[in-house]
Amino acid sequence: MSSHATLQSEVHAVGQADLRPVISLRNVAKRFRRADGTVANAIDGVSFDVAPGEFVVLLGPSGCGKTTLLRTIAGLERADEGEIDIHGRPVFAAEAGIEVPPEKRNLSMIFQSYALWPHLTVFDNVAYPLRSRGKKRSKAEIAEKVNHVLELVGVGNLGRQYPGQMSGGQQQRVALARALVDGGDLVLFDEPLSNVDAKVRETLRRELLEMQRRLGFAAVYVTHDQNEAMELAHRVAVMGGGKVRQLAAPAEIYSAPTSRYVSNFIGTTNEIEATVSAVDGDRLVLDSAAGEMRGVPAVEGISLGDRVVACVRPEHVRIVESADHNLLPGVVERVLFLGPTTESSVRLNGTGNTVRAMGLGAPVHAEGEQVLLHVPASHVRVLPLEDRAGE
Amino acid sequence: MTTMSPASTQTVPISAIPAVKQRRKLSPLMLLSVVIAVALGLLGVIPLLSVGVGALADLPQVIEQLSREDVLGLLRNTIIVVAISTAFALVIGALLAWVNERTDASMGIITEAMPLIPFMLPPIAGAIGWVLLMAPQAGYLNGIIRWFLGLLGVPIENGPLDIYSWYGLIMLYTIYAVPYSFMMCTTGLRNMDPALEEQSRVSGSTLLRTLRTVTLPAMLPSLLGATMLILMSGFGLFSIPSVIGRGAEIPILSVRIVDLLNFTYPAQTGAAIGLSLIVVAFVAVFWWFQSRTLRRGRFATIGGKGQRASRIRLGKARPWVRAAVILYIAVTTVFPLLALLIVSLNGYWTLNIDWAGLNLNAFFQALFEDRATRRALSNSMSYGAIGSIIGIVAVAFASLWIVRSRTRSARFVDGAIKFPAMLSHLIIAVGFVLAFAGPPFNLGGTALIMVLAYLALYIPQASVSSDAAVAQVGKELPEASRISGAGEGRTIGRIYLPLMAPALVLGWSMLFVRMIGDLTASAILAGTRNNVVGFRILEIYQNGSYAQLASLSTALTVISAVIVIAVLIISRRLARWNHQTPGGK
Repeated sequence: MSSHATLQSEVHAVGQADLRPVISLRNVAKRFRRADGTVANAIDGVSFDVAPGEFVVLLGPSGCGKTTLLRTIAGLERADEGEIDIHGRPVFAAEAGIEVPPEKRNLSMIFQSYALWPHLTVFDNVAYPLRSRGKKRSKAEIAEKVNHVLELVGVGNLGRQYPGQMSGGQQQRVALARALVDGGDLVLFDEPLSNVDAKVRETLRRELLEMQRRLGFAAVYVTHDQNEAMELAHRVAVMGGGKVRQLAAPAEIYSAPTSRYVSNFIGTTNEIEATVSAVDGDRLVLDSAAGEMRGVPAVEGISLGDRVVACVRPEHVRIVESADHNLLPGVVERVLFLGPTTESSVRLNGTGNTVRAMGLGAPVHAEGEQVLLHVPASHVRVLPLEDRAGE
Repeated sequence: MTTMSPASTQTVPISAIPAVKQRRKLSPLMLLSVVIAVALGLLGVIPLLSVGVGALADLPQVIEQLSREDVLGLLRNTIIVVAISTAFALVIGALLAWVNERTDASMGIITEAMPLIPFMLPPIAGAIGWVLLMAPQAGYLNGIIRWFLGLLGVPIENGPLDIYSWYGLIMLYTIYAVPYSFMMCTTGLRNMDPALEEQSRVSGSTLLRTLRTVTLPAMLPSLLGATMLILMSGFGLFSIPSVIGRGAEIPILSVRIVDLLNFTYPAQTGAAIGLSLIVVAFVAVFWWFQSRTLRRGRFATIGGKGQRASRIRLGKARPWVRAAVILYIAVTTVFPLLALLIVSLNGYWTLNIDWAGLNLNAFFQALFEDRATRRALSNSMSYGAIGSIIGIVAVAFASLWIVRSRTRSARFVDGAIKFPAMLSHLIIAVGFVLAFAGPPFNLGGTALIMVLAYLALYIPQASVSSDAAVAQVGKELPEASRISGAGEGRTIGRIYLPLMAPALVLGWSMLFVRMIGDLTASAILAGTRNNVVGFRILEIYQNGSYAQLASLSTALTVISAVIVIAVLIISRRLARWNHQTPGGK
């Protein structure tokens, strides 16, 4: 992920005036020494840019380094290597010995608990950044700014309350107001929705999305929840083992994962091991225990004779009467009726592999029945076998 | 980076691993905190080292003292009193805690807070109160019992109770020790998952069997912890044996040590060290035993999800259990305080109380007429005020550094600050004499040595509570402040200190109360120039009136109670934002 990915123009409409990246990371790395003396890579050579107004989500399982990366950007943790620029100003550079403390990085952060100070009123909470950052401001100016931003996030009437008296939604709005009050155009989010219940979470997420798109600040958002990532992000950075494994728009992450790690982490995937037996134009012909298959290479550099894995999303697997390619016979093992869809697990003949097929509507086939499965070759993504590391 | 050859990039990762973690430069504020923390640590370490060095230097005298014949008697007496009272205190404290936590006989604040009162009052006041109650001739309890027996036609002249006896001594030691075991057992029961007990009941065990097979084993760590605390304070306890032990002619180790140091001329330091080492040895042996038992144990008392156990219904026994609890509280707390109050208002100690003639004049006369008493009182107040304010501020800054920086050196300093809690007060006071009283510091008889000794003795507890105060602020609230553009100083001033304030104010009041009620360090370090209440009480006890004693004790008690109650109210006020869950955990 060393290439500075350029943004697709339709993704964001804001911030055209200044296209200089808000955050720029180059080869950032951080290591921990474990108790037994071995070295763990918390962050392992991460590079990417965040454009103005862009919403980037860092997604990964726990321990993948996403929170450490966020805290490194904020200055709450210190990286061992690499460079970080914010608004074009270097705030960290390992070799040049630059390290700007968090209070001088001019960014905002929303914490897991929202971290509203319980002993201060909502007004004082929001006014805090204005009073703390160097510039001298009159009382009237502060009051005007605070009230304006409270109105903006829709809690203009709560100024005199204490945070302890408010609902989760109100707390989120106040935290957002505090983050934006100083005209900040960069907000970091550290799993802010992770300790509220599912229903509230969904509402808060919608609200946050609406605000971000309306107000146009750039955001880096850490989560382990892929639905959240898909919904909020312009671009998702899927992380594993301290590395960014893929950085792309949500649709691309889902439909065109470039590694088995990403393909397995996002959604459900059927994997069938095979060997490349021929190349037919832009298609690969695969030889698997279940029969001959055709697919498209998901990464460059796959060549004849390679051991590979064919990855197929369940919704692309159909139970059919016949097809001209990719026809896989099997026995229905289990049928799960899920309401709008039905999921069938089919054991492929001649293998131990079970493939999940998703069909609309009620079940058609009974357990134990012999069926034929078909996947269009364009939906069979071929990935190298040896690439699950980092999970 | 882009032009680097592959060969050189390969060497980068390993060499770039920080072998010694690069640290950010310490800000001036942090530097100050470190200096304070180290100073607090030294306050405990230096006296202990002095005792050790002193023991080596005075070895012949130490050995001579230890081999004297009456040392065995001293030891036997001390062990008997401490062992029996510890056993009683464990049983009583555990029972009170169990009744309060697990049965329907609990009575809210009465059963929750009252058993702790002896803890907050100066033990010397309690001891004198008990003398007034149970002295063979003029003790009020004896008077009441004799009057009652007289009604029944059994006239007696003397007794029947005598505080100056083995049972009197043991009883007072027990009363003083019960709060420790009550506190530890309450915590233990609260942290223990009640499902463990409920499972046992559901599996068909009776209440008693459940207690024996489930509750007690799970409480073992608490009981051991309580034993440790009781033993440590018990061997060093000076107030009670100095009042009761002398009258009962039961010599106790702690009294002998103080005598050797402050009531013998010239002071027999070597002898005192020798005897102090015995105390250290006892505590060390039990400490070893405790940690061995805990390490072997499989009693992780997990759970603690905060769910309350369904309380055991006592049925017909409930009023009786309640009555017993109330009686215990009345006898241990209310009676002696009443006795003190009556004697100080009456002006002298007699069984024929002139109820109509009770007035405050006698009380104030006793306090202020005597110049030495007046001086001691004002000294105690100022030393206490200065010491407690310095103490709580110092401890707050030390905790801010220790809790936030998890370095090895921070943990080491933390240990140095807290370990005096593990030692008997006696040792530290002896160490202070050795380290600071003579050259080069020549602090003997000064206010400074008193304040320093108070700090060394009482800071460990204050530091535990201020650690908790820092920890409870959490990481996110101060981090949010940094991100908002506030530097270190502003974050501490605007976020940490206001959030810690309720706990710090409470901690301050405990420090103040302990310092003005101190007897051990006062008895060893005070003299005519830096007289304090604790020392004055001992002086009066040796050649003064009981009315004076009672007045001084009452004054001490009233001041302590007023301070603690006022501070409880203030601390609630300070935490008014806290009546609902704060946003940041």
